[in-house]
Amino acid sequence: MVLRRTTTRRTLMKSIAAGSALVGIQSFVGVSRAANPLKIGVFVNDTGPASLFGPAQRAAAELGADQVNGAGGILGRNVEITFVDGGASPAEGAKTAVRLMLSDKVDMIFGSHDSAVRLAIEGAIKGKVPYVYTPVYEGSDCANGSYFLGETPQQQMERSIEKLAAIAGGKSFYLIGNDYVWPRTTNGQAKIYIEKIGGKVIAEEYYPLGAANNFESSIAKIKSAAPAIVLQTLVGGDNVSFNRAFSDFGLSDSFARLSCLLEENTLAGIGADASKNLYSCLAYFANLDSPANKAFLDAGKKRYGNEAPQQSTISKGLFDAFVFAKAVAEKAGSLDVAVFGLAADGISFETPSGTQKIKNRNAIKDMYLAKCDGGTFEVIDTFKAVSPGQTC
Amino acid sequence: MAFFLASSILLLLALFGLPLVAGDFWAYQLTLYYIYAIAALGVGLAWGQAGILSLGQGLFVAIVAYLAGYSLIYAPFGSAAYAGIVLAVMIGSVVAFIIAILVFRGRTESGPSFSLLTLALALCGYQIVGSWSSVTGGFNGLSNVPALPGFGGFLDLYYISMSMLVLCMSFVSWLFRAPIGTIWRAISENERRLGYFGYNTARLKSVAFMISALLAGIAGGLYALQQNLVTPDLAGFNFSGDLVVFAAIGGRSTAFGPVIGSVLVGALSSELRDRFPWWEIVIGLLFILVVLRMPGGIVGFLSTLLPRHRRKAGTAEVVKAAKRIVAKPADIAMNKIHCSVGEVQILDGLDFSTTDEKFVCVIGPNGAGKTSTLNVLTGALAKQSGDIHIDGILIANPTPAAIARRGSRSQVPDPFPISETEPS
Amino acid sequence: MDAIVLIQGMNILYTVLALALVMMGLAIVMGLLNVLNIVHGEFIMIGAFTAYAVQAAGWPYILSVPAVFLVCGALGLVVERLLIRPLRYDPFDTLLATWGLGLLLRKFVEMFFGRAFRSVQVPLPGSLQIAGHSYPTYRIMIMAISAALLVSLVIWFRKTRTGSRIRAMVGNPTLAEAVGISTVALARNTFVAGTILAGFAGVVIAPLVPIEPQMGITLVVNAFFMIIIGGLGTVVGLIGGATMIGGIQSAVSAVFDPTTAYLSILALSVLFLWRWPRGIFPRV
Repeated sequence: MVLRRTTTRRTLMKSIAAGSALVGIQSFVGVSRAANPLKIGVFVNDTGPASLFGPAQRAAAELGADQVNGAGGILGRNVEITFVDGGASPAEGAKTAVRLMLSDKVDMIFGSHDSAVRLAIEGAIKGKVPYVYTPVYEGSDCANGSYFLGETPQQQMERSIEKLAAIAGGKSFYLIGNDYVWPRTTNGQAKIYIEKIGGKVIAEEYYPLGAANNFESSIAKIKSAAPAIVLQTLVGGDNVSFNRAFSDFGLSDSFARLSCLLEENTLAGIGADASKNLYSCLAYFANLDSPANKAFLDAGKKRYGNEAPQQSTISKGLFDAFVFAKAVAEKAGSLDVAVFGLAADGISFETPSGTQKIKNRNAIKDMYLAKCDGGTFEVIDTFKAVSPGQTC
Repeated sequence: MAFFLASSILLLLALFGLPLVAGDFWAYQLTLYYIYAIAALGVGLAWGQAGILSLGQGLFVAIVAYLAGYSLIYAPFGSAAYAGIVLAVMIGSVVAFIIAILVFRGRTESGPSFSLLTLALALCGYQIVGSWSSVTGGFNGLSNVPALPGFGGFLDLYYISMSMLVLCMSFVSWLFRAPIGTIWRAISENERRLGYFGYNTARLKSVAFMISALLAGIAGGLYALQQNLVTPDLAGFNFSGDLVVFAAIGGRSTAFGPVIGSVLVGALSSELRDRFPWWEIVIGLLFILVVLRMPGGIVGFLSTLLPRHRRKAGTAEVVKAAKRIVAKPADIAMNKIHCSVGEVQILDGLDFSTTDEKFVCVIGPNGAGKTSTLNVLTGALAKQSGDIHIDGILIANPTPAAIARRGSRSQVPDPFPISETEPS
Repeated sequence: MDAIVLIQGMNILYTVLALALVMMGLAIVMGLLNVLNIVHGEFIMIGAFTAYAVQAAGWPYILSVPAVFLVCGALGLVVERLLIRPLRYDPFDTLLATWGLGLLLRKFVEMFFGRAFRSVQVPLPGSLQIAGHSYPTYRIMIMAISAALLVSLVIWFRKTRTGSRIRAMVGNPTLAEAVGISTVALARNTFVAGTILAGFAGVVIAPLVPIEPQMGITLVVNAFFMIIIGGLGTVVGLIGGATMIGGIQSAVSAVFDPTTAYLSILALSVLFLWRWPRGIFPRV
């Protein structure tokens, strides 16, 4: 590990020299480069359990490319997307990444998919091109050349725990999630902040991922334990089933719920009749009232009409990836991984959800706490510039 | 023979030359398909030959892939990693043999219950490796598995897995032609009868399952090497299902079938996946078409188109069957046999013995228990109490195979269903 | 303390009856006809989407019941004629064919409804008082429906002419044919009944689950194991299997955690498949 880092530093110096030379050449041959598109491979969920995000992910990426191309492309080159499926097995993901590198010869890879596929892709890229991973994730990934624009557990928990305790008027938490790495890491962070405010964790429960889970018994336990807040790290269908049962048992009036992966599509599954007293803390909600978001959604409407897929933080991150890549590439003057990496640190870029700034390859960003109001979110608080808390 | 040699050499040359012509990506992609093909070959062997359909074959791929991953990560020096992988493959096969022998003992079928059992085991494995993060890396998998010392490039791995595939295919086609192949096929058609012939069908089937897990294990070891990452999805429902699909589409009764299925379906889905959003419909239709119209898969279908050439049938002599018996009358004694099935008492304290007579006729009305008596004697029907002596020797737990090896032969009017399948 | 015991007791009962409802169709098709109908989950999914479509059209919820009879009945007829019958009801072949069919049905539904989650409003919101404690009305309704269906299934199977014909066909198809039972028609009707029951279960559970094209996959795998534990082809086995699974799931969840509970159910399935492949209450 140490060894690798020193070699990276050395190659870095060389690349910087090469990079600054390139800037010179580029301004010279700028016109001809427009005809030579900059290829970006984008992993989206076309299949698999998260495939409901697929259409919106494609749309967000296309809008990102439009935006960047409208502003002169990246390094004077028009951006061209190659969409690939990130919803299959990790081995399929790795194979696709190899194809993107060797056959399609992409200059960068962006992706919104699960973490197992991410590790497989990183293994296939081996840090040869920049790779931007955009959805909510568990943190602690320092693979060479990778950047993370999604929410980290620290960002989701740091301010929301305190705020929600104030709203709910109590500091006792019941943690319920799916049994894999993201929920456990997120709950680990949550416990730190719960301790900080002097709260307590009443119970911590994990349900197997991919089983046909029933939540009645947990709901009975929650009712009898009477926590102030039910903190959920359930994903997808389990998130929907739990919250529908929770409301059907009439608990939604008495207990506040904070769900860590509750975006627009999951809320549609939970339904307006089951979303009372349900909160979500994410870096983006589709109905954010800001000029930047309005421009983003208008562009979507313009391109896809009324059939524009529902955006959410999971898909919108792919739009950010384009803005981020343009900002960094233009500062670096090159897409070389080492130069790119040096330029990325500390860079700021504008996204539909506000300004983001890269720190340790993760993004410092504004976080929003929203309360569900029927089938939509109502942002009730904005946490400015929350640190991702990663040390890469 | 000359034709066979020439075509084999051409095929080998093509396999060697392919990555040089098609480029690095195809080398990488084909490596993965070859790995899947080796596992699918195992599914085809157990299913097409011995009639055992494993719906959880991914479990054995996963077990070996994880163990191989650990060997590569923790091996202090290069050859220890090799030894670790070989050991991992052996562990996988032994586990499979133990599972199979435990289940098949005392059973004369390998129907859906065994398939579902393998599926349940695989799902258990999936859940355990997924949850046990401290050891297995959990959902994200066992990452940073180093490459095999001395081999790292796409081409190296291509040639390694290609050679393994060719070796495995040769081994499997040798098994098909060997006597044990004939016996497996006979077992899948009429296991009871093979029992009466004196074959220990449970053990023979377990061997088939073990060899199929051996192939799965080889695939698992190669997988860890190629991917440098081992994830729980190997033990999941989808991967095991894919292996069955590969074997079925390609043709489960040949050595080429599963391989062609893996490469064809793999290449087709990877070409269609990112271009045609409804590609799964194509695969689904293809699959239904094969099940309905081409039970022999693509290879089976193609071979019906080709002019039929004589196939050398294997003979069953090498596997040690029942001792040749000299026609000598046996002294049979059955004492106080009780036998009932469900609520029906069939034999209630039956005493029956033969001495020097050459022929004994058992006569009785319908339902008197003649057949049941014979079935108890041959071990086909379990008795609740009483004992059986043949030539004065107590037969403790009669099974058809054990009785047959004692020299008792039964003529059972239970023919092999060669061409027609009876409706169930 | 008493409250939670009572509610948890109700929960176990609910889990058992809801499971029985979801797997009833499969129990018939797999238990009586030997068809490993992996597409059962997709019939449930289609049932749930039928309920969604009926609600989206603004019709009363109850109309989903006749709608699902039409949709799943027709689908069952087509599947039986084109897939199951040509494969002679062979367990392995039908398993493979329905696997492919599942893929097609998921994509087909996706064409109409997309991949997003849908939700259906609970038709009977609110809760009822039971011994001083409230329990959701709709869940009580599901229990009642499932119990009623189970009872009528027993009566139908044991007492009616069709029931005895089916038993004859299952016991010995050749003999049944010889005494004048049209086994082809009988098997077809039994299969269609199974698909309609699956679709009906989908309509009933629709308000409680996320509705999306892939919802059937996890449901069906679990249903398979339940039927195995209970025993093939008997109503008692169906209830037994559901009770065992529901009971163990709740008990192990309470003492350990849900993942261990899930693992113990899988382990139990393995044990049954190994020692008692015909289940606790096999058909004699």
